[in-house]
Amino acid sequence: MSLKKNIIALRQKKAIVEKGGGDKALEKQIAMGKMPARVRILAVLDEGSFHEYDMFVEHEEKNFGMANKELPAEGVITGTGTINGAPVCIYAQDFTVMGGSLGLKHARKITKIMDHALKMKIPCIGINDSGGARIQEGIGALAGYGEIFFRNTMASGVIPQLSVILGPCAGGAVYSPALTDFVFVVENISKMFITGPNVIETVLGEKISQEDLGGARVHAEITGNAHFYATSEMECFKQIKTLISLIPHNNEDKAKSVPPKEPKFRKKIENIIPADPKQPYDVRDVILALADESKFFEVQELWAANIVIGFGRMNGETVGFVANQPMYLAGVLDCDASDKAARFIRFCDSFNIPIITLEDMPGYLPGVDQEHAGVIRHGAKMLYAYSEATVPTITIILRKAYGGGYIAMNSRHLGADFVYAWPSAEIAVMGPEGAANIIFRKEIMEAEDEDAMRQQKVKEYVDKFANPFVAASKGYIDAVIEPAETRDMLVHSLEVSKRKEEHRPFKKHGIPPF
Amino acid sequence: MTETDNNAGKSGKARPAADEKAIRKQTIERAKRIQAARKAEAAKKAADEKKALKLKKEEAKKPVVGSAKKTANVSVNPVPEKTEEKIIKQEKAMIAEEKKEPEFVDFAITARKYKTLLTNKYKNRKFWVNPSPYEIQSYIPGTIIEVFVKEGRVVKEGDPLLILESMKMQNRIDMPFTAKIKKINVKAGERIPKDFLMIELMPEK
Repeated sequence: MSLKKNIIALRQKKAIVEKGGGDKALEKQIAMGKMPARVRILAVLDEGSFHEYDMFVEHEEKNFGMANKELPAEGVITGTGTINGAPVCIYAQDFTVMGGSLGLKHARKITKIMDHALKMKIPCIGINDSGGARIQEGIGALAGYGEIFFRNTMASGVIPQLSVILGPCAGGAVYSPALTDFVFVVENISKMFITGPNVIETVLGEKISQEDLGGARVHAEITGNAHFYATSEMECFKQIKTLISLIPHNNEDKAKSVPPKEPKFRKKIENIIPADPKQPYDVRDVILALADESKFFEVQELWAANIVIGFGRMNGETVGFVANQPMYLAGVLDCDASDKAARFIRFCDSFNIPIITLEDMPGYLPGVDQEHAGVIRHGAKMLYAYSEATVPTITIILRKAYGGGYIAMNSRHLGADFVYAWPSAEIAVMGPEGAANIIFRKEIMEAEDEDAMRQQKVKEYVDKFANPFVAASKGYIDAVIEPAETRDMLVHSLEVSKRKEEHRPFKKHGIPPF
Repeated sequence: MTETDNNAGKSGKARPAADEKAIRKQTIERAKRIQAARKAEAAKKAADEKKALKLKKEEAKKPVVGSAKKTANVSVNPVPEKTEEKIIKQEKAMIAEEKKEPEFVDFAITARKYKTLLTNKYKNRKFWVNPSPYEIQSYIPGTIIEVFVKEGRVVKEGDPLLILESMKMQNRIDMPFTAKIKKINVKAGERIPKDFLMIELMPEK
């Protein structure tokens, strides 16, 4: 009999916590176009799968009138659940409770669920919606942030970590998402910056809106801090579900395989690419023509559009695609593109996802801004990432492969397992025009009609070197294949390399050109 | 950490509030003037660009013999002298680029030009300007606290020029070499952005 009373008491207690910051705050949250924290968790997870922990955690702060202040669930909801059957740990900051501000106990709830995720070897998803540090707690809040960052770093490369920015995320709070593998942002809702517009205005006199300073679009397009951009929270949750279905639970697992399906893309693969190396096309069409069901889940679509990265499936197994995009900036490599690809390659390598590289690039981007931005250091990240990768790697040279770019795009020399070329491939130290100008400088200068001579010499060079056969004759390319054979070749190569084992010299860790 | 947003400016105040207000008013007025000037300039340039583009299109229709025709290549490198001009030029370039957006542009990598689209970030990139030793620019945004020198005077190497307060630090800017002060573009109390041309120098003859 008495047990029933206890149960009722528990239910009442839970109901109070579940109300969060109360009706007024909740209304405000909804008026801002944002979902309540608990609703967000339920929307991400499978129906009925959410199990909440630490509902009754309380803060211990006594100063600044905090002693009698009750903060339901300490402003953050933590728990476990499943996404399409895959178990995950999840936490969501509740903006209705003191602006989702982070105090020590709030942080401890987060670190506890992170520790749990790391022990159970399952992904951790963090939904950020917080005004920042709880100023009343002072150093306690800072300690809390630090403890989160430390765990982000420890979990990096062991379990996938996803950060979802659904509100403000400013000051120190931004570094947790920055340390995680994927950051999701939503138009008009996400705001990320180290110093907000107020500080910038008072200190520097520069007036800028939150949206222009660190809105979703800014991070998706300019800074590259965000990986997935959505126009609504529901779209964002869909992206999370798709991503979780494509990646493994941890670094010892493989991504779940699904029954293989043929590509749906109707256009013939050999008709996608123009024969003229100067003409652009959308390399994503090539990916669609190769991937299962013609499904491609692109990562960082808007940032550094001159390189395309993302996940797809080949014969039912998840693969990562890295492809030069001739549609933008002629598909050159620059600081941002190298950064973007290198990080993605390292993610794939950590989580046992084979990498398929599609190459069509004229080289590195020339320019003072690039050189001064450190294109040497950034470009080196890509060399490092490919060289370090021990997952199966396959490179297909579609068209141009010039100079340093040829080496960087996972060439045989960096340890690619399979290198194939289409008959349209041109593997050379530089574009034919440039090369002819240098090699035949004397002939061209001495000729009566310089232009005619130059044309002739360029043609000579093209005939001799602008093809895949010179590289094939040296064994740097394993096979020159017809475009229509590509999918078969990829599926076969992945099948062959399923048991691949490759070892690297022992080290504590490498020192990549960060 | 975020909440400092609201407080950071207040803690560092050294001047009375009235003064602060006046400075702010000045700054806003100045910014408004610059903005208006830029807008007018941009509108004019946009019209010019339109004309130029039209001409170019007509030219493109004519058969070109032999010599490589100059295209609206993005690697043009203007060498403006002043910060404001620099910004205007960038804006002009942006406007010109935006017009071409739907079409593919020529993009030169070494000796070959590729047809491609440009990213916004590429279009908005900063152009390189060769720094002149005779221009003293602000390396950090901030407020001018005091100016020690006058126009037309010769100042010795190492002598203080002005104090630029930024992030609650007072930075003394010294004379890099002995020279004459040609022009001073700032006065005490003024808030300036980064790379602002504060003082122009000239050889002392």
